[in-house]
Amino acid sequence: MKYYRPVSEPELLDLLGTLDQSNYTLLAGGTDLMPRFESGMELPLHLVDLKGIDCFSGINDRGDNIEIGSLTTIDALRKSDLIHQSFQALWQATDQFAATQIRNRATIGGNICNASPAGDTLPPLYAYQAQVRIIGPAGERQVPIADFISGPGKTALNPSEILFSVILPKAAGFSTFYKLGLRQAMAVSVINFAVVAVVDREKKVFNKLTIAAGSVAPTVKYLNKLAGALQNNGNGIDGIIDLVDQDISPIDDIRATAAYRRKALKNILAFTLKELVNKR
Amino acid sequence: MSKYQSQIGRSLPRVDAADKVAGRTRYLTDIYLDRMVYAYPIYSTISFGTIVAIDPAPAAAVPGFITTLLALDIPGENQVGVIIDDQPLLAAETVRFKGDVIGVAVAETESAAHRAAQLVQVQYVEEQPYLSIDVSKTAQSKYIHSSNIACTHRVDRGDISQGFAAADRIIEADLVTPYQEHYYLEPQGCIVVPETDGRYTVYGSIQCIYYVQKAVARALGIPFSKVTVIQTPIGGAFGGKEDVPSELCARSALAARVVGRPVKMVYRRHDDAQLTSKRHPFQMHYKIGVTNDGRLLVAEINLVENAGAYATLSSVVSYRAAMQAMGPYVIPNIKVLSTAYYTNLPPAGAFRGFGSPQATFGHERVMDHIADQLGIDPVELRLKNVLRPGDMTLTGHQLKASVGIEATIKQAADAADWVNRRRKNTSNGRYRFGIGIAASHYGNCLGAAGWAMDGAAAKIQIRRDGSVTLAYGLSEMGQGANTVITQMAAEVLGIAPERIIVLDPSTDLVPDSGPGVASRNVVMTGNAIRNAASQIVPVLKSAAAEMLETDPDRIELRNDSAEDTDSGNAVNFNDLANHLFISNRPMDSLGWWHVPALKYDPETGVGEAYFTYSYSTHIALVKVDSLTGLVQVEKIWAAHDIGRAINPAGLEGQVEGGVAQGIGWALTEHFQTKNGSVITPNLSTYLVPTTADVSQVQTILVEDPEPLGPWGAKGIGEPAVIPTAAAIANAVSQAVGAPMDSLPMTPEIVLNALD
Repeated sequence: MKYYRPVSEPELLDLLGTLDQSNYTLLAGGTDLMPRFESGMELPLHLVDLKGIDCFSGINDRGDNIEIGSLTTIDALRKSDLIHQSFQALWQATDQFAATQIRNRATIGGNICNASPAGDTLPPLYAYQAQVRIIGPAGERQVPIADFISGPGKTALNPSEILFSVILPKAAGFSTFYKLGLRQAMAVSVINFAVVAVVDREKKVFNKLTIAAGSVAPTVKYLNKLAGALQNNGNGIDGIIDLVDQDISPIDDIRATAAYRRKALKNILAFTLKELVNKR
Repeated sequence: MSKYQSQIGRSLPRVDAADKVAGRTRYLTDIYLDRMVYAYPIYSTISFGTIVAIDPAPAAAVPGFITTLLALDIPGENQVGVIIDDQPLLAAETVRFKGDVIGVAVAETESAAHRAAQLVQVQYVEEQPYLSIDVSKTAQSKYIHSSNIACTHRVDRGDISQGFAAADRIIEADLVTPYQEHYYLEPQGCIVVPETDGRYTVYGSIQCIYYVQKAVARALGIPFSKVTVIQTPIGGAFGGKEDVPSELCARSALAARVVGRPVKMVYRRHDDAQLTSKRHPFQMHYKIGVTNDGRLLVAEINLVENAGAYATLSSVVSYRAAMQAMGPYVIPNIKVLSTAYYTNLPPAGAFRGFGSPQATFGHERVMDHIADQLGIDPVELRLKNVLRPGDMTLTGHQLKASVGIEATIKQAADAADWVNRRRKNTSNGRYRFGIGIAASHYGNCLGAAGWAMDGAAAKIQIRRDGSVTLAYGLSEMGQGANTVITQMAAEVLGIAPERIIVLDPSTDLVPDSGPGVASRNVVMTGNAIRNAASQIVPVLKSAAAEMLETDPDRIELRNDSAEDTDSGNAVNFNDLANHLFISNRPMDSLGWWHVPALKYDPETGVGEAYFTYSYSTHIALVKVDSLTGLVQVEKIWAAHDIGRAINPAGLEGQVEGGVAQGIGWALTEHFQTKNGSVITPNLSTYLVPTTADVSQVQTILVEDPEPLGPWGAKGIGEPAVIPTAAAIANAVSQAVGAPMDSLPMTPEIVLNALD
C-alpha cells in the first residue's frame, strides 16, 4: 500500500487522475477505515490522505445557507455556535456521536461517504434537505444528499471525484434528533431520526414537517407518509403512526430485530411529535 | 513512644499506578527481543469433524515464512487439559469447534505469520455439530468426547421429599444466563525464549505461571526445572488468563524449539474472541418449598452448564455453582445436580465469579419469585433465612465466625432507603423505576475440590541497604495485588512501603503456589507473608537487640526502625539491614500457607466446601424507558463483608469494576454466535459498558474478621461482580411488572415484557 498526502486541491485532482479508481481509498478521519483494515479488509494499493488540504474544512455562513467543508470534524461542528443555534438536530447528532476521541478525528464528509444506514449525521442532513458539493476532473456539481447516497457504503461519486462540502439551507423551523444506541456512548444506532418542523402553537398543528430516519432501510429514509398525514394536522398521532411502516424496511441484525426497530421507532417518534405539537 | 501508623486499612495509592497512567509499563506486546520471530495459530474453520489432510505448502509462498508445526512435531505429550485430559495441544484428528488449533505458523513478522496460518489448507469430513446445550443433551452417538457430559457435581443433604411434604408452598422457576466475554484490553500473548542450555524462558500475560510451566514441560517432554515462567504486567485477565495461556505458551515453545529463536505469539482480537474461553452459559431449574411465613424448607436445583468444546475448568466451575446454588441461606433439605455438557462452541472456562454469578442469578431470582408469591418484602424474606454464626450452609458447613451476610443486607437496605424506594415504584409515565436486591456468598480460595494445590508462598528478601524485595507466586492482574501485599509486608517489618519492590512472579522465585485465581491472593499471600515474618522478624529483633545492647523481647519493628520499647533507643532499618549482613544472619525468609484440611464428602457434596466465605449484597436502582425498553442503572449500593479491608480505596475500585462487569453481563454484553462463529468479536459489536453506562456505586464495607485471614481479611476480587446482575434483574422485574429470568435484558426483551 502506498500512502499519499496531497496539500492542495489541484494536486489531489491530478493525483486521482493518475490512479486506477478501483485501487485507491480516500482517508479522512480514518475512524471507519482503520477498524476495517484491522478486521481483515484487503488493503488498497493506494491510500490518499485528504487531511493535508486546508480548504476542505470549515463552517461558512453563506447567508441563506451554510457550507460545511467535508473534512470538518464532528467535534468542530459540536463546538460551533452556528450549528448549535440554527441546526439543533445536527448539533444533537454530533453531541451523541460515538465518543470524544472519535469525534476529534471523524469528519462529516467521512460520515456521508461511508454511507452507513446508521450514520448519525445523516438523518439531520436529509431532514434539512442538504445538498452535497462534488468536485472532479469534469468540474463541479451539486446533488441532494438523498440522491448522493445510493446504498450501504455506496455513493454517486464518480471516478476521481471528491466530496467537497455539504450545504444546508438555513432551516425554517425547529429541529430535533433522536438516537437509540445500546449503550450510552460508542454505540452504532439501532435507530436514529431527525425531525424538522414548523408548528402553529395556537392551533397545535404542523405547518411543515420533515422526518428522516436511519437504520431502518439500506439508506436513510424520509417518512413522507406520516409527515404528509400530519401536514396542517397535529391530532391523532398514535392512530396514524403505523404509516411509518410504509416507508421503512428494517432488517434483523446483531443489534436488534426488525420488529423491535419498527416498534421502538414508532414509540419514540410518536412521543417526540406529540411533545413538539403540544409543548412548543 | 513515637506514633505508629499501621499499613493495614490504609488507602495506599497503587504501587503500579504511576507507570500505568504514564504509559511506561511494559506489557508483553511492548517487548521485542533480538532475532525474535512470530507465531500464529492455524485453526479449524468447521465446528465438528475429522481432519483428513493438511497441506501447509501454500503458506511457504508468504515472504518471511519460516515453518509450520503440527501435532506430529510435538516431542512430548499432545495434551493441554488443565483438569480433565480432553484437549490436545494441537488437534490431529478430531476438531471440536471453530477455533480448535491444529498447528502453528512461524514467520519473520507478525503479519506474515498470520497470513501463513490462513493459507494452510485443511480438509475435513464434517459432522453435524452440537451448537446448544439442548442439542448436546440429545446425542445418542458421535459424541464430542467419549460422552457429551463433561462433569457432574451433586449436593445431597437432608430429605427433600420430606421437605416438600412439609412445605406450604412450592415455587418453581427456570433461569437462563449467557456467555460473557472477558474482554481484557490486552489480548492473549507470550514470548518463549529457547536458552542455550536446553532451558526455556516464557514471558506472558499469565495468571497461573505454574500451570504454564507444566504445560510447556509436558509438550516438550522436559522437566519442570528447565522451564522458567515469568509474568509480564497483565492488562486485564478476569479468569481469561487462567488456563488459556498454557495453550499459547506450549505452542510457542514448540516453535522456539524448532526455530531456535525467541517466538512471540499475540492473538488478534477477532481470534481472541473465537478461540479462548468465556463465562459458562447456564440453564437452571429451581424448585423450592417454603412455609407460608417465608422460611426455606427444601430446594431441588438442576444446573446445566454449557462447557463448550473442552472441559478446561468446567469441573470446578460446576462444583462451585453447586456448592453455592442456594446462596447464603439456611436450607435443611437440598438436592443439587450440576452438569456440564460439551458443545461445539468455544470452550467456557474461568471467569471472575466462576459459576457464582450464574448460581446467584438463580437463587436470587427465585427468592424474588418466592417474595412475590408470598407477598413478603424481598429484604425481609432474605433476613428471615440468612446464615448467621452457628448455622450450616447448604452443604452442611457449620459456620463459626466472619458471617457478615446479615449486616451486608441490613446496611445496604438502610443506605438505599429500601423500604421507601421499594414502595414508591408506581410511576406510569415514560420512565418506570425499580429497585432490587441480591445477596450471595463466595467460598474463598480453591475449596475441597482444589484443596491439594491450595497453598502459596511469599519470600521476603532484605537487602544490605535496607531495601526489600518481595516475591510471590500468584498474580497482579490489575486488581491491586502488588499494593496490598506491599502493605502487608511493610506492616510485618515495620517499614515504609516505599522500601519494598514486588518482583514479577516467576516460577524460579518461590515454590508452586497454585493458580492466581479464586480471589485468593490477599488470604494466601497475606498469610504466607505472616509466615515469612514469623521467621525473619525474630532475626531482625535479635540483630537490633545486639546493636542496642538490649533484650530482643523489648524490640518493636515500626516507623522504619527497630525500637527498644523501654529506653526508646532506636536503630534505623538501613543500619539494621547492614548489621544482618555483617553479623552473618539470614537476610531472607520463605513463607508458606496452606488452607487447613476441609471435611468434605465428594459423593454427597456435604461438608466444608470452602474454608470461609465472603458475603455480598447489592441493591440496584433502575430506570426503564417504556418507549424503548432501555434500562439505565441509576445506582448500586454494594455491601461486602470482606473480613478486613487491607486497602479500602483499592477495595472500592474492585467493587466498582465488578459492578461495571455485572452491568455489562446484565444489560449490554450480548455475546452471539452463528453456526459456531462468534459474530460479536469486537468492541463495536460486543458492548462492554462505558463509563457513561456505569451507575453511581456506593461501596459499604462490613468488616467481620475471619480468624484464618491475614489481619482478618477475606477475598473481594470475585464477590464484587457476583450479585450485580441478579440485583438489576430483580429491579427491572419490579419496574416492568414481569419476571426477568434470563440475561442479557436487551431493550427488546424489556420492551416486550412491558406489553
